[in-house]
Amino acid sequence: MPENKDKGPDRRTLIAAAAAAGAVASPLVAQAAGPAMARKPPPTKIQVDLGGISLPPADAEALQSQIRRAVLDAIARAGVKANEVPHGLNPGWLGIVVRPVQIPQVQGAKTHGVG
Amino acid sequence: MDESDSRPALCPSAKAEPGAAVIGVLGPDGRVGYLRDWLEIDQQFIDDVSREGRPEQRYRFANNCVEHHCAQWDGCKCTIIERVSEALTPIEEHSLQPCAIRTACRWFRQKGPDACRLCPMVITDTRDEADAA
Repeated sequence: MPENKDKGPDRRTLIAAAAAAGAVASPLVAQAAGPAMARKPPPTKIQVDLGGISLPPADAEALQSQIRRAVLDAIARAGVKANEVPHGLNPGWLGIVVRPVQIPQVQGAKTHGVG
Repeated sequence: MDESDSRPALCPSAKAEPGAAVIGVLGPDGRVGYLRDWLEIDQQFIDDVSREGRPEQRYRFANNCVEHHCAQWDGCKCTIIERVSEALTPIEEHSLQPCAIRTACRWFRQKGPDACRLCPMVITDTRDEADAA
């Protein structure tokens, strides 16, 4: 009878148990869902309401532009860095490259305020 | 799903280019968190986030679905969400995350709420830097 050198938990047993508990959707998900994954902090809400203050349209537009720029800067800072994401930049879902390729530039067809 | 919506469909996995909107940010848990509002990006934003690699690896962008101009279009639908839904189990969430584009989203129109439960697991660009070169 071969000697069992591995005294630790049986990996297959652990995976089977996790799968039975519904914790693992697929091997790929299991690979990505490691214990090192950090929890997301709560979302940040920033609301600006000038209340009864009325601004000239040009000033309001300039302020809106500045706020938008500041929010974009904040989002740029909030993005995770390559070395901050467990298992690399992408959990590795299927290796699907979902980036559209070789599509022409679409001009003047923006949809705002949907959803 | 809601194919009767006459508004142009939006691609929830578009390229980062001026005029597109940032709709999600990859979180430390490896899943995408979503913005509530449509926030159009500009070249400055793209330049800023590109310092850490390709933006599509860490953010999700929306833009018009270009249908037959896109390699992922099979003639009548987007194949990406079809492939993802075949391979992954939707996240079990009772309520959907807020989303700036839901009712116009191509994936939502094809798959309904299940698309929203799969979407956080999708990163637009999974290629290595070497592959992209």
